[in-house]
Amino acid sequence: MIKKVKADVIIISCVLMVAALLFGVIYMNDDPTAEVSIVRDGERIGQYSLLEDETVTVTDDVGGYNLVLISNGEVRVCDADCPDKLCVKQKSISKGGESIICLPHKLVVQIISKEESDLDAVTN
Amino acid sequence: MKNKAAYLGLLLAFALILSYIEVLLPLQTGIPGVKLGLANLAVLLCLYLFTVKEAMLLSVVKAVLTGLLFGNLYMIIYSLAGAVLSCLVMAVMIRLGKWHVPVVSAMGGVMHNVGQLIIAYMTIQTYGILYYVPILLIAGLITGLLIGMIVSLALPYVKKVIERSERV
Repeated sequence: MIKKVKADVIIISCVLMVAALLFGVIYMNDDPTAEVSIVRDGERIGQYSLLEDETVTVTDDVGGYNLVLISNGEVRVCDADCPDKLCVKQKSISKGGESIICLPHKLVVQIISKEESDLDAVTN
Repeated sequence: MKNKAAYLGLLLAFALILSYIEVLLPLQTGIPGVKLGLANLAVLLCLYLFTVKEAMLLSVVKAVLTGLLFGNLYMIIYSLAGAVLSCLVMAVMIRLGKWHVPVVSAMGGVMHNVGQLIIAYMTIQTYGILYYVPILLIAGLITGLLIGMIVSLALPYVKKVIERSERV
């Protein structure tokens, strides 16, 4: 009887451990294929990897600028001369689909993840 | 056992009715793919009363019929994969005889979900599905345990009824 209970506990904890392990792996790891796309006024400025730290200065025709900082797998706009500075106040983005938008400069910084776009599928 | 066909028919009817009840129950978990799996009561009973062969037959026919009645073709493929895998694992566990009924059922529930995840992975071919695995593993474990508790309570009575009818 005791032996059976022991076997029960072992197999159930195995399943729980696998689940916990997968849970950890999934939520700790960020998607390594994600990229940052910077688009100003509908025109693509460039696309950068999230893994490499980089500072991109985006300037427009009339002298406005936004400073986009990529570091530690996160992206934020660290400085800009737009009137409302909403883009600077937004928190860092790191997950596929997230974006920072600066309306006065018509700037869109968006994270593009290959994984994300594949997810739309019918399974049931 | 002389009335095997009749018992199998009864179990299949039981499984179909349970599937129907599950469709009717307003018990939505909010996570697609997570459900009680009441119909596995019948499969588990069949495993304990008969052999793997009968249980496998029952779960395959059950999967096809419930798919046709309450679902669609996709659902049949998913249920088939889940049913076959869970049936096999539960049969092996019963043969080894090391585990209690609820735990056998819990592993059956887990394997049912694993089978479906394999098919889902083959259909959409993305690692995105990994996000879903832990949730479905835990869900299968819990629902399986519940179903197994019901079966372990019901099994002695069902066995008694069958033995009595054999003697007549």
